[in-house]
Amino acid sequence: MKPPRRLPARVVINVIGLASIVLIMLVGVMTFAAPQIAEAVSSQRSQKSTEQANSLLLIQLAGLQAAQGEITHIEQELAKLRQQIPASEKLDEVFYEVIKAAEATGAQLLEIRAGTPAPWVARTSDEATALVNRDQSGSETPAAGDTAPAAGGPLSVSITVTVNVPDLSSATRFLDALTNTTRLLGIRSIDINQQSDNLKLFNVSLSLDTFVMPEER
Amino acid sequence: MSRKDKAVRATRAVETPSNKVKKSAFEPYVDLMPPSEIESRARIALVWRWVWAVLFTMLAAGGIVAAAMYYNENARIDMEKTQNQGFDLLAQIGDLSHVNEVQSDSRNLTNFRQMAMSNHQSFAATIAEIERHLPENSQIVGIRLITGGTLTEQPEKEIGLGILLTVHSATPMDIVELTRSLRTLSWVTLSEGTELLTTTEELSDDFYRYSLQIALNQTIYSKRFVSTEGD
Repeated sequence: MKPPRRLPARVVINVIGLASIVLIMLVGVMTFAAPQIAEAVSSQRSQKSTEQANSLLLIQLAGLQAAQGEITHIEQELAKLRQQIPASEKLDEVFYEVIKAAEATGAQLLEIRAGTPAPWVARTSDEATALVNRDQSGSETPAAGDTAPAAGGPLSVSITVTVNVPDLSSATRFLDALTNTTRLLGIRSIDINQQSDNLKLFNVSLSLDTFVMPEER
Repeated sequence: MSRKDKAVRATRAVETPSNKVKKSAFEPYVDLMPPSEIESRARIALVWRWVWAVLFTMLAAGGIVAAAMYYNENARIDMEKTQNQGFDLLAQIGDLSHVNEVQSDSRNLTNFRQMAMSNHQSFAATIAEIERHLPENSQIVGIRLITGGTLTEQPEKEIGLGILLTVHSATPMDIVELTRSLRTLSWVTLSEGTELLTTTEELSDDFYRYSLQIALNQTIYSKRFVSTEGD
């Protein structure tokens, strides 16, 4: 029996058959099934992330729906806040408050001056510290502008007020009235001085801020 | 199993091995298939088996592909359903945008108010308290107040109001007394006398004029505009 020169036909058939089965499986799975599976996986992934986003939206919606129930209350709150901090300067309100306070406490109004609106900067204690600083050698100029105000943010308008009052208690009553106004006034400094030529006259000058929060939309 | 073995076996099936009896009258007539024919038939059978196998494989592959498509389609439908839910939620939120605006405006203003007005305080109460500690026969003739910064985490340590106080009095020792008595207050962080002068004004000459520097900490802030929630 001679060893076969070429592969026996059956082996060839077996190899071809097996190869075509493997090929069909490979082609079918790789070119058709695999992309489908990949797409499905990515769909599921995006579904999961959408679900997460939805749950956040749901919380937001629940909050809004709850807020809608008391919308009149919230609107009243906002209206009250807007009286305290309007969207535009409305300096007439400031004049009104100061004049009303002066009238109510018997202070003789001398002058009210308003500055121009400037970006609001959080108040620091530097000025107050400088007033009572025992270490006069140190430099007292505070580093200004370390809190850069954002554009379109709140503004403040500086106001100076000068009144004459007959005594210290009138002065404190005037201050009390100014710290309980509808339109908010942030007081920076107060000077009360008895006039040297008239002991029945106290000069009160104040420097204060009023605030403006422009509408965002 | 080789081809020859198979052929031999086929021959044995008809009983007489032809290689033992060479010539016989009884030699039976056997219609043996030639080995080449056997071989060819077996090959064809084998091919058919493979053809079936391939067909079956195609079917199976098709099944797998179909299953994958079905799976994919389901996933897509689920995803679209979820996305539609999201759009629906967004639409509902959009309908309530007015509420949202009012709410966020309100929140912004409250936050700003808290920052801007956290140093709100009653100056009348502070001045009244200082007056209460004034020695007899002395009176405040001048007072300069400068408010401190926004409320900090440690109100006891941060300055809330700086005061420069000028008092007229008949007795020079009053400056010492007042400075010391103010120092006992919990919200006074600094109380120092800085000047004692005789007045040159047209008042009786037993009057002295003295100045004090006083620092108060932030515990005097009214906290009226500071929310207790702390957001």
